[in-house]
Amino acid sequence: MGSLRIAYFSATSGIMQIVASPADTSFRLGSGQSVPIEITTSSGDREASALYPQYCPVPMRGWRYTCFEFDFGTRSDVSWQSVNGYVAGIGGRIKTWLSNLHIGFVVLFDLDDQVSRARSALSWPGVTYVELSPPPFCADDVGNCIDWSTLTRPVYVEAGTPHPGDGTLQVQSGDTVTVVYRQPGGGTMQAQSIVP
Amino acid sequence: MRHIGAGLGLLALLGAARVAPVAAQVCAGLPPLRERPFRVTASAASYTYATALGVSLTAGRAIYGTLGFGRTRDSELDASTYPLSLEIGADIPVGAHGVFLCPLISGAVSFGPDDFELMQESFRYEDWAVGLGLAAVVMRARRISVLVAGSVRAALLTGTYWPTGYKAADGDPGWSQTGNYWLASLSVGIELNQTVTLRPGVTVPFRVTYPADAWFASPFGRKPDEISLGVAVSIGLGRRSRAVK
Repeated sequence: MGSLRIAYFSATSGIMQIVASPADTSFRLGSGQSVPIEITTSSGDREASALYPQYCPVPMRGWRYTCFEFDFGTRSDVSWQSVNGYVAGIGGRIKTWLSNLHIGFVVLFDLDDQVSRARSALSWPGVTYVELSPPPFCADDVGNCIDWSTLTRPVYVEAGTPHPGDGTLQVQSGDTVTVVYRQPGGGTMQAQSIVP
Repeated sequence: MRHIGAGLGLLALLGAARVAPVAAQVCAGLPPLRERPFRVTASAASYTYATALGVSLTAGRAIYGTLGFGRTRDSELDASTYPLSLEIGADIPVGAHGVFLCPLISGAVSFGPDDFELMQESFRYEDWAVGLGLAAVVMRARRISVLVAGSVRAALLTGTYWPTGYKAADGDPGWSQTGNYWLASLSVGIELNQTVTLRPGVTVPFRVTYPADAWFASPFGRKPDEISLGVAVSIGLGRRSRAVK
């Protein structure tokens, strides 16, 4: 059957995260391959994008980490506001900031040089460590193993009037966001979300 | 391990045989070291996941030795390894038609990547291989010579990683795993004016095997069974002194 969903949407942080699970769980994208999607809003924006594997790199090439994401820790005197500009500077956005633990979770909107961009965070003032976000814990005997066929794509969103084709999804309150995805192997799926 | 031993035996056998004073390096797709005792080569190759650059110095006559250094970089993983290699080989003429049989043995130690995937871990690779090649001079004119060379080698690769940085305090000695693979290569050497040689070629790692999940016991940056293109530019240096009659 497969599934497609908008797993995360926050106009405040500027992130919409799309997750798709192909019906064929043996499906694997190779390095650099992607599955095209189309995103539209009821207010008139239209963006072409593509889904990539949720976990990188391709099998048997390195330790697995979550594509498009990394996290970092800071000294206790560092606020998210002070690193926000650095995150934006590498083309990312802070998805979550744990103020009590001083840990930030960053989403990047493309896979180009993900590791080196994450590594650059080591030079930000007050940053104590950086790591590529690991996949969730997976134990075969508990049956919670992650599905390696899962695809994902974060899309940058902002409030405003639509500019189709500019790579950023402009949304307005009350908009319906629709993602259309052609499954590998056939069949079209769509997911919708209403902007609060 | 058995094929490595067989290859070493073959190399020893061929080494013991009478080697005519000719044409070392023909099997590497490069001109003989007959006139020029040294050769400097710069090479580049593109793999599925990485690009490799290297320089090497070759010396010898009937038997040659090549010392090489390079860098193989996987840009997606922001990771580089630096191989230091030594290859010893010989070109043994088969008949009188410019055909050569070429045993070779090589070893390489590659340093890095360090802080791989921001995991505070460093890697080192040790790669030993024995092989056999066949080469032929297919054209020889005054200003241009063309050589064709192919080889197959069996390699044993040990990958080791160990913790660094804050992880090093754990006293973890690291982990080594050994895999093996075969490497086939085919190249064409085009020598111009008996000085500069351009050598395009392809290589294919095949029968790549390693213990489960020990991906680091396979060739860095390469995908099993990929056909990758490489090119080398080589310059012969020096002149052999000739005996006065």
